[in-house]
Amino acid sequence: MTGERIAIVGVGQTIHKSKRTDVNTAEMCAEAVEAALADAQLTIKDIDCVILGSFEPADGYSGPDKFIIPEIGCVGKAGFEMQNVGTTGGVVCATGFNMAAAGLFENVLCVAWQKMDEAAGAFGRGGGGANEYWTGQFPMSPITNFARRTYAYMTRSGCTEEHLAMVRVKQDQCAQRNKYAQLKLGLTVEKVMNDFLLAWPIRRLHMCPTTAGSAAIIVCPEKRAKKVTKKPVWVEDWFTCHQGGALTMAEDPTASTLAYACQKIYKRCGITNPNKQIQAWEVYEPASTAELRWMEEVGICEDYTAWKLFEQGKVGIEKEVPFNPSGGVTATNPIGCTPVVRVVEAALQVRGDAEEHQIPGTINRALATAYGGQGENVVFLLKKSL
Amino acid sequence: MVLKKEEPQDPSVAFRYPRVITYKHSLGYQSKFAHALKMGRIIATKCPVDGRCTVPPRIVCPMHHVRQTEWVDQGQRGKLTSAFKINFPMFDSRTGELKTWENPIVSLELEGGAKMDGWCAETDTSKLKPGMLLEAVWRPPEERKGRVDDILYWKPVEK
Amino acid sequence: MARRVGIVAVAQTKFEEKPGLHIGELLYQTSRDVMKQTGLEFKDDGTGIDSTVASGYDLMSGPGGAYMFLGYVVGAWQREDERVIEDGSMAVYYGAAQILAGHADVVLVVGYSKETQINKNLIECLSLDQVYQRRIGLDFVSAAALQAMRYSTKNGITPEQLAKVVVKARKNAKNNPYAYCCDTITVKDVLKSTMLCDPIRVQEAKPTPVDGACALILASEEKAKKLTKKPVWITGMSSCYDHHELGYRDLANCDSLVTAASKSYKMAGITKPLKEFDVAEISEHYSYQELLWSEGLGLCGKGEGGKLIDSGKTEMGGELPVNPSGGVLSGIPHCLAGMHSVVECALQLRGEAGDRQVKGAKKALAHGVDGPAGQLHCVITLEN
Repeated sequence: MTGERIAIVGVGQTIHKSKRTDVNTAEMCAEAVEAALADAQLTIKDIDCVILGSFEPADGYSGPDKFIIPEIGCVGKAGFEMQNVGTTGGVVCATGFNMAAAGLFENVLCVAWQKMDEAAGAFGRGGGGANEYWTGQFPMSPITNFARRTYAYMTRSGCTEEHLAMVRVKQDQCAQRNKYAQLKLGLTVEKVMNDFLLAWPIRRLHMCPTTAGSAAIIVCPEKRAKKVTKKPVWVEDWFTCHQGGALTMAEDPTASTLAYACQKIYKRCGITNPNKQIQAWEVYEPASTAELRWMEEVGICEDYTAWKLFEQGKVGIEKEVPFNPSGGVTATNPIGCTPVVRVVEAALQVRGDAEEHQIPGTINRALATAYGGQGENVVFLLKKSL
Repeated sequence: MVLKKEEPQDPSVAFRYPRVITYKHSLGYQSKFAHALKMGRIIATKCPVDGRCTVPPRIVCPMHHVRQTEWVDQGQRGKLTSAFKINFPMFDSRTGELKTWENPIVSLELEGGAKMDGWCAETDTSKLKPGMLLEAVWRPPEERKGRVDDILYWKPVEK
Repeated sequence: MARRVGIVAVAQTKFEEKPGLHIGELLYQTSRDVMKQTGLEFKDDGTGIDSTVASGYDLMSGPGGAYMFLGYVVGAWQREDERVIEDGSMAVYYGAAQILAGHADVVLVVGYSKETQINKNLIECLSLDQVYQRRIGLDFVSAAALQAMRYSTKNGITPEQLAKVVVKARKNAKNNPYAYCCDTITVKDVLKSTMLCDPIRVQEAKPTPVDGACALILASEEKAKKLTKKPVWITGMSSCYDHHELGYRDLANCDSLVTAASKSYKMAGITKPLKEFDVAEISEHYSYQELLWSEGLGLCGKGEGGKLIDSGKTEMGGELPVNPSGGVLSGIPHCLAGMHSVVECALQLRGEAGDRQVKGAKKALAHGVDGPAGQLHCVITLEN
């Protein structure tokens, strides 16, 4: 990489709820922006570039950056809006990283949001993203996509519904310790296994909720980052890996670019033993059952064995595999904004600022990912020191 | 994904804004495929590099990025790869209505190798096993529109 | 700019109504064109194209990630493939930033749009804030009309001066084989045409619906020099947002354009734009915009847009020909205008602009705009 080295100097998110009827979209973004600025101890005047994004069709908007910009105090600043369905937040962060690393700006603000209480999701066709002519004719959605993925996982790995429930319980236990998470339900394996069945084997508790929330990060190039904060979180590498509609769920229910994307950045950053070299994981799992497969794809364990780690009780904030210590996406999912929440949480872990859900010990590296469409990913690697 | 909508009663807090946007999508090269569906046939484009057939047809093979110009008839039968039933009301994107769904959606591998989804006549998912042979049951010719639901159902082939 | 980004290949389709074509075919045609020119494909190991940036509003193609189902058409299978929801100039801006960041060495920038499949006004008006401006039925056309009225009234711009912009555009379009509208039109014809949205007449607004696509390949300096004998260098680029509520700003000003232009000019070392540029492609969706944006770009003094068009300096053969391609007023689809500006400027600087070539062009100015009444502007300066 010949560009500038960059670091995240401030992060902020709103307290995620299922409905935020007390604010309009722009106010909600402003909350996250103010939180990030306060965290970095900067003012809006310091920001010179703003990158925005949200999964607009799910809220019933198109190009909403136009009326959100003035509300967050960014009139007269450079910037633009990005969107890529589920990976939107990831693309927003990647864009911000590119703009900062290009040496064009000193303080780049990346903000993403989603206010799902405003539309019935009809525009987004249940958020599954679909080829209108073909798969769009079916009532497909992430629920059915993950029903298929999980079914394929269960047949290949031999795990049972009980293991799927263990994953959900672990996430809930983590979410209870995260003041920003939306769903904190006090779950047990029994409760999950007896919950309302959406499409076998996905139960209502396995799926992510609809959320209204926003998150923001501030990124600076090296010299500026060192001046702004004593605890910059260095962005070592990032990679957007989209499959561009190459495969439908019928063609490959396990289609996912996560393993490929991780291998690519591990190679670029010299990661040969992910378990040892990465201490925190914030991986986007739209259904709790997806965690099983993603744990294998990011290289924590062999293919189709992740369910054994849950059986052995090895996954948790203070355990051997601290996977999604924030409670993950199953606890909070403002679609367009979730990847930014993953980056925020990963950055907090690296800084040691995650309060009650902080992973103990020194976090040298954290992996954050974004997921969207039919297996598209954006992966980020954050580092404590250069 | 949202199953129930509650709206605040006070109009100064929130207001409704219905919007209807109609698209007129051109099928272009896909019209050959749509026409075949009307004739009761499923045809797919084939990648010249690895022979993989894709339904619906793609201009280029996504993996090898070569133009796909060969069309292969996929037959009338397919092997079941997975089946799922939707247990909650979901919007029917063809009509916009919210309804319950009795018939499972099945994924199949057609005789010609292409994979697609379809509705299944058998409503008991425990009877649907991967590897089962299913047969297409079409709408009457005058009702076909060149769309995926021209195939009314896939029916298990009786032994 | 310390490192340089070069444009190594450009392509565009003929802009016209193509109702029988699938939107993926448009993208395929234009991306294949640039890829054939350079012999590049998407490669994993840094020897081909590293990433792609597209521009376009999601809802224009169909709800919910429509672009996601077309990325494979360019060959972006398991590749970096991101979309900018703004006018195409910002996709070029972002593609160049990726190269300056060292994150990619070769970027494919694409824009494609099918206005024949959707009423674009419906989609555009969703960009307006839902509480006040949308509820009074405001959309981009009416916002432009408000700005046209304010601008003309404040500065004494006459309807004839506005009509001259259209006459110039259509005359220039005759030399452009890709242009949609190149009919012979006079000032009288423009002033006789039906009123679209007072004071904008039908002939003063960009023709619609039109379909088309453009593509460019950007490369880092070392690779650009290897890939082509005629690289076009991006010397300055910037974008800037203005207020959203139309009442918040004096519509006769375009402050965000002034800011974006001054930042780009500073990067490129330009102090006297009218003298230093040899050709300019400005995104004028409505006739008054050519005059107002010319003021913002520093091509004339404030309030002197009318005098500029009267002086003939912006005609072919004048001091600074503006829109030799015919510009947006000759028919460019939604979200493509800014990218088309960059493509046309690159052709001019490569000496490949055929009958519309400005002889010996060395420095060019490209511009893109988005949002109601020009809320967001992007200025890109180029040289060969």
